[in-house]
Amino acid sequence: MVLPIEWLKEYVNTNKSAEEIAETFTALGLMLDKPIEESTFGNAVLDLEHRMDRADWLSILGCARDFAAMEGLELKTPEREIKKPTPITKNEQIPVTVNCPELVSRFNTRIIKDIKVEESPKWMQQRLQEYGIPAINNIVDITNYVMVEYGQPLHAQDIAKFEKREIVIRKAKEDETLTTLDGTVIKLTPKMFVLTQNDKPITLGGIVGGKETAVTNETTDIVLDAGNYNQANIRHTARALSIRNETVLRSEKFLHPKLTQVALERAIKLILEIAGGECYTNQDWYPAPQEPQTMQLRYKRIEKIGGEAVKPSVVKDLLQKIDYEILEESKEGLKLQIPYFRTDVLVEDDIVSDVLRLQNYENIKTIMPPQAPPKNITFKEHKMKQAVREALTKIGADEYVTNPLVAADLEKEDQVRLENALSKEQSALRADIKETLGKVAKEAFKQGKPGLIFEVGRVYYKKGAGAKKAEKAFKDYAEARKVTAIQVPSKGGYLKEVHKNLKTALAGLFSELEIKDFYFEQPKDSEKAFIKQENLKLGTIETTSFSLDIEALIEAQKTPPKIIREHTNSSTLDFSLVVSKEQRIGEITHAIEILDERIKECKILEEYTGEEIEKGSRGVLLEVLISAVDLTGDDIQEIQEAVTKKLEKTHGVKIRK
Amino acid sequence: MDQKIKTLKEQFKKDIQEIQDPDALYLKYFSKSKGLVTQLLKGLPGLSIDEKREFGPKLNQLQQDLKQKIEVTQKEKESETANETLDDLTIPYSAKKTGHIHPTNAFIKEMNKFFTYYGFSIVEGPEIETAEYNFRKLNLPENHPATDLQDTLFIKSPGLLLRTHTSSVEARILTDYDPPIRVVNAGKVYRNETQSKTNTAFFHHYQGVFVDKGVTLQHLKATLTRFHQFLFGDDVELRFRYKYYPEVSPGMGVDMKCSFCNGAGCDVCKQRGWIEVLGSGMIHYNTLKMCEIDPEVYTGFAFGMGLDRLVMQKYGIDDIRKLYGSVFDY
Repeated sequence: MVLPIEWLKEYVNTNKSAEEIAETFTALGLMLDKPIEESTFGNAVLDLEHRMDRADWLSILGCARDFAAMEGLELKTPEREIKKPTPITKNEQIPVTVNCPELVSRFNTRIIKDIKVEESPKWMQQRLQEYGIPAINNIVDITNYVMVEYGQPLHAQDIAKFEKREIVIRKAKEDETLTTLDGTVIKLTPKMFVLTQNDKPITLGGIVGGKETAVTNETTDIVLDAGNYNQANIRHTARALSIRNETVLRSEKFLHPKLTQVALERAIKLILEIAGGECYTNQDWYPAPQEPQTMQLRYKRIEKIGGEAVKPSVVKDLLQKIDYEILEESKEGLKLQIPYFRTDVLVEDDIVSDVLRLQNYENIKTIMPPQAPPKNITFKEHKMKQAVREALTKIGADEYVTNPLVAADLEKEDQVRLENALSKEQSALRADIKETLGKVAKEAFKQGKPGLIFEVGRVYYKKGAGAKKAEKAFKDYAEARKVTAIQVPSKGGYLKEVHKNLKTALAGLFSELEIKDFYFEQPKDSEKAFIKQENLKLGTIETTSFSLDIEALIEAQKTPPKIIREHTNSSTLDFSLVVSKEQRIGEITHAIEILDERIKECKILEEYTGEEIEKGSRGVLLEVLISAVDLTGDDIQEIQEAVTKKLEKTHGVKIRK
Repeated sequence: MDQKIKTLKEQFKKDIQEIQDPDALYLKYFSKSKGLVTQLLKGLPGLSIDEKREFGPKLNQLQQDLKQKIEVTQKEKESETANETLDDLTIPYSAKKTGHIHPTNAFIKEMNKFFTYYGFSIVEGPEIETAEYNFRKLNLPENHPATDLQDTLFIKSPGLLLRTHTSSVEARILTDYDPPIRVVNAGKVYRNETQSKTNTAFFHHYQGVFVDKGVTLQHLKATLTRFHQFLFGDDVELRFRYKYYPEVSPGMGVDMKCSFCNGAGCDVCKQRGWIEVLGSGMIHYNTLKMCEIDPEVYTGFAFGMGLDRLVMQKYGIDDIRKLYGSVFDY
């Protein structure tokens, strides 16, 4: 909200400097947004941040009211024409018909005849110019002046230009157009509503006037209107047409229908004074007048929110200064009538806010909460994510965060796509962290920065397509927490070495997380292997990357860590095997590990090919670690036989003697 | 035989001085094929019974003595290596590679530390949200002008959107848990914004919620004062002012005096002299009610802040796109 100080002083007498005035506004809720500027007339102009709620703060009078209350000054309200207008004759009347009552709450009109259109007085031109609205002629300037003063958009039309004496407000028809004041032709849609005469659009209500009925220097008789419209519809129409102006800025907020009357009275006062003429009645379309809102304020509530009691006399004084009316009074509190322009007041706490802010928040004491901490409910997902981050960085990996928005790909059935994305490149969500982290990996490779990189983040998919363990799923959509790591190879590095580094990191991560007994399972012809623990799928691994499900990790971590073991005897058994290329060594070692509880580990000591191995096969030297309390030779013998049997019978592996 | 033993002993005396490597020394005397002692032992079966009686134990003794001596030397050697010193301790070597947490997450971790100290739990919530949790429960009725404060990205499915703030998590926690509640949460939020140096379609928000009996604006001010002192140092200067946010009433904006210009106004603070760090307020009566918490019994405060700008400032990153997608020189 632009606030010329000279204009402000019309309503409140202050000797404070522009900087001091800005400070008060900042404290009461209208923060100084930009540096204070000086107008061409040498006056200071403030630009205050407006926050959507207070429609009355889009008026200089509204700003002045709060300023005066906070400063303890009197507010001078502008003069309005309260003399009853002359009744209009039936012939000269301009009847108002509203065919879309859901979009119009009030359409308040007056007729003014025999005016003289000319330049407006210098003081008015100057104020409008300081505010940022160019002067046009006295009638247009007055409607603009009152709009900035009171916050209610007004609109004057030249009656001589009406083909038919009527104003019909209806929804626009498909392909109807309207030429606005500045000559722009806009295309209307049936979602918008228009003011029409003789079935022709003349004005886009609450947004912009039309050229056809505009006031010019030849105009003598005008119909002046102030409308109260459905603000959501105004917002959508203005957005659809890309129109941002002072009228839209106000019409799209919650204005009170009563304001139309107040603003008309003020405008008529100025018109009669400046442009002459005589005012006549015309229709005030207001089928459902809104009653003033009343509310209870308990003094205790102020203390409950602000932490300290405020004297009733202070409360009453502050509230009355900003136009609250005290209807009833008791020891406990007040029954108040809410000022009509305060459409933002919804609950008692909003009145409490007024009391507290007008005393300046800076004066509220600073006291730490004395309450004891409640039960800790930190989510286990958060703990796991944090543990994964710590573990991976501990083993030398670097964390990245990438933008989860990706390009839509119609081939991907499970992709979550956006309805209103601004760019094609960011019109869907990733289903795999690799989609976005992969780009960092590629860049790192190009720059010659090998190593393990990872991201802890979310993936999004249509349900049924992804993992079952989704945190929250709405209708068909779900998201899941993952950690994905990519081993960036060094230039010219061996793929096997890269994969070994990745596996070592994965094993290190699991060791840090105390996740035991994991193994890999690779389906035939698949380039991915599953990382599993018993029947639980923890994630997948590829040649240079792995991805783990955070919730699965939480489940896998259930076994308590063993840091002290019973004394056991241990021994090792070596097996030299020949396996075919198709056989998965990881699956064989896992099968041995779960064969007998006395088997603690099955390690690959060596993997080789050579003359003595037939083509297409590999030689593998396994070491089986056996350990048990009171391990005997019989135990070893038994395991030797069991492993041999398992290898030969189940896996069809040849054991070399 | 006596003579042989004697010569051997003398030679060993010499060797133990000269042969530095204890392993080599061991092999010289005890290697299975050529060891000097081994050779003597190999000669034992060829001796007469009496000689066997005499020299068997002697040779055994010799074997034990020498082995013990070698072991002692070995131990001495080892301790010598451990205590060995280098003449030049100034040679620099490059750093051992360690891993790093992403700057934004490192920042979040620090803030979490602060709040867990004050009894807050760390919670999470979904990014794909419903209008109910993102707007309605936060006192933002349909078509309220304030919904314009946030350009929402919608999912191609009616009623679903990407959360525009972490307040949606507040709505979930207040709905799912009974007070007293003290939680913080950090996460990604999304807005329909064109990409630029300072804007992307996703940001990081940090949110705190405190609901209990007797919570007041005084407690909010104190908590936020400590928080800012933690983030920016004890001499941080703060400004508390009324500011409207739909989900709170009364609302409160918190600014800190710009440390670059000391309040005079500069590019960093957009000439304001103050930098807005976070938005806060007492949780709206209607929000508590809609989340089935009795606002007559419980009161609470909430605060929320954007993290990316602070992280960029801390690490001197001038383009937000670099923070989320380029290769770092950690």
